[in-house]
Amino acid sequence: MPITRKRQIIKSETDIIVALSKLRTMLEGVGFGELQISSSVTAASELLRNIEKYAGSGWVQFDVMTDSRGPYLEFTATDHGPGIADPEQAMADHFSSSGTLGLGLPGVKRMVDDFTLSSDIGVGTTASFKLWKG
Amino acid sequence: MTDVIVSSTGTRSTTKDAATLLKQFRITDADLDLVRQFGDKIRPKIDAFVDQFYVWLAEQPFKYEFFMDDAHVQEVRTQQTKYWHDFFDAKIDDDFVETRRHIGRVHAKIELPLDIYMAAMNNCLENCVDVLMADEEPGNERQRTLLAIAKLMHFDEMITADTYSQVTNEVMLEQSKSMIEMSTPVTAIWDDILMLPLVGIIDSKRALDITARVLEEIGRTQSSCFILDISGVAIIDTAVANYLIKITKACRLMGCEPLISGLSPAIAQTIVNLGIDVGTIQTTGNLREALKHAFDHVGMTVTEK
Repeated sequence: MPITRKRQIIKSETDIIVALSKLRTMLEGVGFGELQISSSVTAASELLRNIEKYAGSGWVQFDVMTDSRGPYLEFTATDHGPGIADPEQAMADHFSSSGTLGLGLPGVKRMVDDFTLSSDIGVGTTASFKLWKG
Repeated sequence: MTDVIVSSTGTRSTTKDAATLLKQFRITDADLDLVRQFGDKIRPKIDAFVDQFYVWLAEQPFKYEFFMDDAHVQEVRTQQTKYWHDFFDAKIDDDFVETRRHIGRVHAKIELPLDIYMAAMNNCLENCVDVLMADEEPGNERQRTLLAIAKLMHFDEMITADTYSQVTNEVMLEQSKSMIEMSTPVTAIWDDILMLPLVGIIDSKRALDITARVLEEIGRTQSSCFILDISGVAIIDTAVANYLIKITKACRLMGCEPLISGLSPAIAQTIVNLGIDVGTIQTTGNLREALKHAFDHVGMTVTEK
């Protein structure tokens, strides 16, 4: 059962900043630790920057949910951009199609609990993760 | 036909043409005909109800600065009269839409609150209803006319309010941009030592700005050590890390030793989890350590008196 839910359209860097600050406030509100917050917000930042960079626009939704392991963040970012040709390759360290560090997606995978990335060429990309308060 | 325009400041607005907007508001040619027919009845009354509006405005508790000056009031009154003549001419084309956008822009520029604009719209609507009630047309016909007028008013209000908020957003973005620029104070804290405390969120524009400022200051002061304190930075993701690495590389090229201070335990762990190789960049947990390194680098020691 969702305790809180935020949904936002991402179309500029300003939207990303606003979304990340809402995310941080939400996690602080439910008592996530500094490392969990830092990991969540950083992972979110990676995914949202990807939306802005590759797709131009998309949207994000995040909730804090609770299951037997306690409260956790559920984060989903979706766009209708060009899609990722090879999601597995995109998840590999130092692979970049744009000349950056190439650590974004693999980094996200290392930082969060259940990272899933699904993409269809020409349709778009959905990236989601969970992170338990622990 | 919808063009999405993204301005340099990042605001996005939709500029739709008249035909699209009419369709969106379900305004038909029949509606426009009704407005035009009704126009013949209301046109002789426009001057009177515009006057009435300015009497109302003068009674408002706070006088808007713009209306203090009689010449301005006269000008605005003329504009408003023209607005209603245009409205009842009901010739809705792209030029008409542009005049409404212009009104939104002007209202936003002079910071005239939208409630004044809405009050003027209301004032006209009330007068239209009065005229309609006194009319001899059958009830159905009058209701259709009223609906057509209401639709066209909503159409006008939407365009004006949309443009108004767009201009206001642009102003706000400009303000926050200048705040960000002010918040990159590169300061010489000692001979040969520069420092920049970074606060907030770093985006690509800000990163470029920071790099330019830092390099300029290094060039100007010929400092040999630069401390970048990031304890106030909310997020270090791979993009921000990339910027920081680039800034430090550029510093080195100018013969200045970069030091990054203020890595909190959480941020340090996040950077490791991301897999970022900070390489040979000198980093410290707090500013005190960085300062020690810096003094060491420029060959100074701090001793107690």
